[in-house]
Amino acid sequence: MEAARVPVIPEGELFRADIAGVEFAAGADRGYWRLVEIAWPFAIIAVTAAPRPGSPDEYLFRFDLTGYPAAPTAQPWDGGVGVPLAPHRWPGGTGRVASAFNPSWRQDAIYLPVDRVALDGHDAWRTEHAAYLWDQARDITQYLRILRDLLTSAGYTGVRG
Amino acid sequence: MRVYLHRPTQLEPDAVEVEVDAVIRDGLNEVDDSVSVLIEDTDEPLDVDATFDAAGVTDRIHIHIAPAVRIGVTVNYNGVPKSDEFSASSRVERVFDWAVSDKAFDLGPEDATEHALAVCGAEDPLAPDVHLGSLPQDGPHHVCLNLVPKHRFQG
Repeated sequence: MEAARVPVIPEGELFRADIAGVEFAAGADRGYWRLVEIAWPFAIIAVTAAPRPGSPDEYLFRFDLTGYPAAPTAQPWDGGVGVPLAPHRWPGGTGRVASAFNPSWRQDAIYLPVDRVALDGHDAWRTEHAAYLWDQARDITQYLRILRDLLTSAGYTGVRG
Repeated sequence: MRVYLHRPTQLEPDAVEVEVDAVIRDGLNEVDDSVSVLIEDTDEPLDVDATFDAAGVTDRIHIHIAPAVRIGVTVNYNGVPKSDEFSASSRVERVFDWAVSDKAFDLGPEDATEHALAVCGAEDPLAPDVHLGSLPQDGPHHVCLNLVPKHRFQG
């Protein structure tokens, strides 16, 4: 007898469903973030930053969503020309902000346990920061909330310059 | 119009579509005399026999359906508990602002930004826009929270 087929939801459709879902919509309506574009497996999402002199109101991040709902990776993005954001235009600050947005480490990922590139090579994070790992049962807003928290914290001082 | 509906024991809201001139009691099926409806971060329940429009419910607003209007909160920090009471529709952010103020633990701005609230017994910090009335309770109309340091990632 032929085995029953299990329907598989294409990754892109699952992501689009999450973007259309309540969590993303509620955050967008609160002004936390906004979807700029999807060009699968990439999506560009803008995250609002706290006002700082000479600094933008938001930063764009390009997410590589290959394998979604597995963990994505993200990098600051220049939406004007469609290339990675130059390091001097990255978010700058102290403490957690400086640790996360570190172009000296890499310019194609953000130094957070929720980021699949950053997690690779940091096995200790799986136990030390278990609550901050990507959770496949949740959606992209878990990553966005972490970015928003950093960009609205007192430790965020504006563009690196 | 769309309203975001927060409920007990459900951390994320639901989005519901309602008619602006509908009576609240009729527009939200679960509203009866056993619950109160509050706009986010407010202390006075709405008149459920008023229309959404008359009650000040606007498009994309967040509201809370609660069996109890007031929730007692105890926040623990460095082994010291401090308690107060907030409306069920208060965001965690409102409780956090109280906890770091001179009314509670008096953390300075830089110290405050490195901390967050977590439910007692849980590791993960709460999102600041979760409603107090949606959190797990450790007693009738009471929530226990810890003020915990946010993690900085190194290595």
